[in-house]
Amino acid sequence: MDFDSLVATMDNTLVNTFQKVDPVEGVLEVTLHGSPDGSDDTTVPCIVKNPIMEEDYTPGTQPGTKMLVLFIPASAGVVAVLGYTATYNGVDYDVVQSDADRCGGVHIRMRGRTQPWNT
Amino acid sequence: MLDPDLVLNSILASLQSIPQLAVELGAPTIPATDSITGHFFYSGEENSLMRSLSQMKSPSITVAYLDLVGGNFDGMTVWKHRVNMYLRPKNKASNGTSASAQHLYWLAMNLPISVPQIANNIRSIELADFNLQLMDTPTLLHHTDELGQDFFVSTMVFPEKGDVGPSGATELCIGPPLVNHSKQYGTSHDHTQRDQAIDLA
Repeated sequence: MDFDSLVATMDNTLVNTFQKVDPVEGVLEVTLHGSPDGSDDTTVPCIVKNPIMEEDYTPGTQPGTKMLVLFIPASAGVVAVLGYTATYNGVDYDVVQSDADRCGGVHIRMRGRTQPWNT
Repeated sequence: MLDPDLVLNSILASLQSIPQLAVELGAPTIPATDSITGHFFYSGEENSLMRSLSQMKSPSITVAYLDLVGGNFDGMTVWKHRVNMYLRPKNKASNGTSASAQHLYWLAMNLPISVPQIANNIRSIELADFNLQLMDTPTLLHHTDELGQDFFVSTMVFPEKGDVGPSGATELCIGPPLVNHSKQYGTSHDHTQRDQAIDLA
């Protein structure tokens, strides 16, 4: 395989390598909710990126971050729009920023919700 | 000198008693006590304020007691309590009825409260068991957090009535009773009277 072809497969290779795998649930994918009724939900693979600012756990709280940054490869064929809600690993978020890279991949920043995604 | 925690709890209780604000923040699914919370700077239990603000969920309001400003502002005001309110509105794209942060602020500052008693709004009542004066006219400011996200913060200043002691009674000073103010600076005779009182002390 020549270099260009290898590079073209890099996004998917990285996702397959670095996506999180739960021992029970299997591969963890993000579900993007484009509408409150769930009619256009899309579940796609992703990589959890390093946070802009690390968050610490505090006593008495559930582990987990309020702000989450994900990378979705171009091959997923989705555009995460600002304002979508999303669910990752059982936690609901608002998409507060969606940045496309030049190859069609998407980086989304998400903020935890106080309510379920469809309310 | 009112306990700052008491001041913060009093403000929180009033804000949580505004039904329209609670609904906008997710009630009844999320009770107002969960969506309008205080930052008490509990060591070991709470994050730093900056980290708490970046981790605020949407929608929610965080109220933090920031400053106890002392000074002889006038004859009867020696303490001012400064409290900041941080607002993160609901996702409007996923719910078309959601309001802006500025509207949340309007709800908080201008709609009737029922705690500690029914009043036109939080600005028109003396909180903390009437030991605070009406809040100074508050200000709403735009800020950007370290993640590049917009949020709004309002500064509220509550002057304290006199110097409230542990019993709740004002303890402004200990000393000889002052003569009637109108007479105190009236005639040379009154000056003499006052000087005598000070000498006796």
